Amino acid sequence: MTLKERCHAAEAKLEQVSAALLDPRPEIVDRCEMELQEVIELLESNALLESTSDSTSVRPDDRREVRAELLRLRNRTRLLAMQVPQATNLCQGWIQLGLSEGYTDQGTPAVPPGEPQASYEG
Amino acid sequence: MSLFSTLHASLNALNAFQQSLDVAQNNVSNASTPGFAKQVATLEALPFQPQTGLIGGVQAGTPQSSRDEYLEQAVRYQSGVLGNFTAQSQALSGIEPIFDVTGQTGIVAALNNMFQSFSAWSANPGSAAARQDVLSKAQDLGTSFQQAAATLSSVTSNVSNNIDSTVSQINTLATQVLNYNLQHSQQGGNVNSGLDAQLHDTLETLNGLAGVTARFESDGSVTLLMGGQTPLVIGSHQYSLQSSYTNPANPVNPNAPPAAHILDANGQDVTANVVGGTLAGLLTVRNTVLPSLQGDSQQAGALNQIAKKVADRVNQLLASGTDPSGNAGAPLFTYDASSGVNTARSLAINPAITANTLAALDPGPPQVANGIALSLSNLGGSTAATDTIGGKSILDFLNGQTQIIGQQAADASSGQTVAQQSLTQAQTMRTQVSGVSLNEEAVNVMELQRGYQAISKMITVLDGLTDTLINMVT
Repeated sequence: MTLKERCHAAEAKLEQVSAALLDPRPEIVDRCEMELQEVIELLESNALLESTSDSTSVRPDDRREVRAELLRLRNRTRLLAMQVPQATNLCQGWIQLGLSEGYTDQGTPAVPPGEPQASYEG
Repeated sequence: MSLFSTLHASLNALNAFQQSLDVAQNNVSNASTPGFAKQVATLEALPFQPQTGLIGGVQAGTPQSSRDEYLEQAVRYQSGVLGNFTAQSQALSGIEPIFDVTGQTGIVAALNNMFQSFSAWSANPGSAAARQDVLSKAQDLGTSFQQAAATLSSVTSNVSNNIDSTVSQINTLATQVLNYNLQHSQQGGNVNSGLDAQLHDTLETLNGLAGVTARFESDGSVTLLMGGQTPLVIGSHQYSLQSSYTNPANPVNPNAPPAAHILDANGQDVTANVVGGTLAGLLTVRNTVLPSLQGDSQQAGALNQIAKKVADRVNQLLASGTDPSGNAGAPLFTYDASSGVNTARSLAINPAITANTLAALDPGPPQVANGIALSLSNLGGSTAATDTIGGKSILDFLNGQTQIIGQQAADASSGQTVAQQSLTQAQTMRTQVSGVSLNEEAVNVMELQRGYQAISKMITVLDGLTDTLINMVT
């Protein structure tokens, strides 16, 4: 598998992950985790290949193409990076809500009143 | 218990179960109604004390909505973000071709072609064909600037029309919320699920158009605030917005396209309170992006700056030279100098100039036969103080503008993609959780959150890896 093909495969996997994450279910998120692990392994072997290969043996045109592929891959990675925090925040808010007592009349989460604090004064 | 009491209790139960069936039927019928949230029938146990005549049984309670306000707010927020990026992306796609990043068309190509014609002329200053080519390429450049100015003017008109229609839609939707409040008040606080669905659908659409906060008051009415401050609806009163286009008094540039303002019902400028949705995106393009290119009451804009610098410096250099007849060179360009924002739209070749009145000779001393033509061919990349715009050569400044517009368009497009994904995600989650107890689902949500956090770490690793690889192949 050439460097370019590896980049293609990695990008295709990232697109699949991005689409799958639109359906937020634990089993899907788990599967995405595994897919991302595969992408990392794919790129790590790329990095290994690059570091051990003679850079002068690769034609400049090929290097330009691979670089363009890598830039696209990084762009796709960063898009994914923007997508994930939104989902994390959504879950965080939902969990907070689960620990509260529903909603106030104004539509905001109602925080349960704290335990009465003992006073040692007087 | 008497037979009568038994029958009465059974009748209560039958009524209650009938109401449950009605609620189920209503849920099925409204499965695809925009904004509808499943209703849950509630049954209330009646007190049972036969000795005191309390016969027990059940009665129907008020149907409860399964609407999750937190997820509703998440969907509304994402609608606003998506509206903002979509409006910017659409408007910028009309501007991007003016500054063609490939350099094959538009001003970039026309300017490069003109400098090449100067270069060819400097190599053969006596050539009639080379002189004629200079005139032809200069004419092309003028046309190119005029077309760019016309395109920007057309985009400005389109964006202004979109602002007007968006404000009108916001007012119409606010009227629907007002009607909800009025009906709610007339029905003594009891709102049917259809009206509730309509309200939430309206709020979602409204947030796509402007960042609007919906506050549910204790009397059940909805207060609508734009940007958290500007009232659109309070109780039974609506406060309509309007758009306005005005320039400040004593502008630096007369005839400049006026800035867009959003006014509240009292005529106060509330443009700063438009923080989300289509309207915010349109205002960003209308009041920030377009003025940076075509100018406004205070600034000339990049397009006019480039046109003026090219025209002025080319004319100055030619005027300092001598034509084949021994006369001072004629100016190559003319433009309307009455306002800083008129340069690009009026840039044209001097109608009086001919190939024979182009001055290639620099009288010196020392006299150089192609001195002026040579200076003109180097003008684009010159970093002499007289030839630069904002400390950059003409071509560097133009490339900088091309990159800025390209980056803005790319950012808007990426933002649109991510906002669309986030909106879909929030909508899917809303559908999945609607009607499900938070306690039942808490474990799932925690599992989900753990998964997202793991993915987030992996993406950080991936980002670092791609960076390393890019450095390796560079």
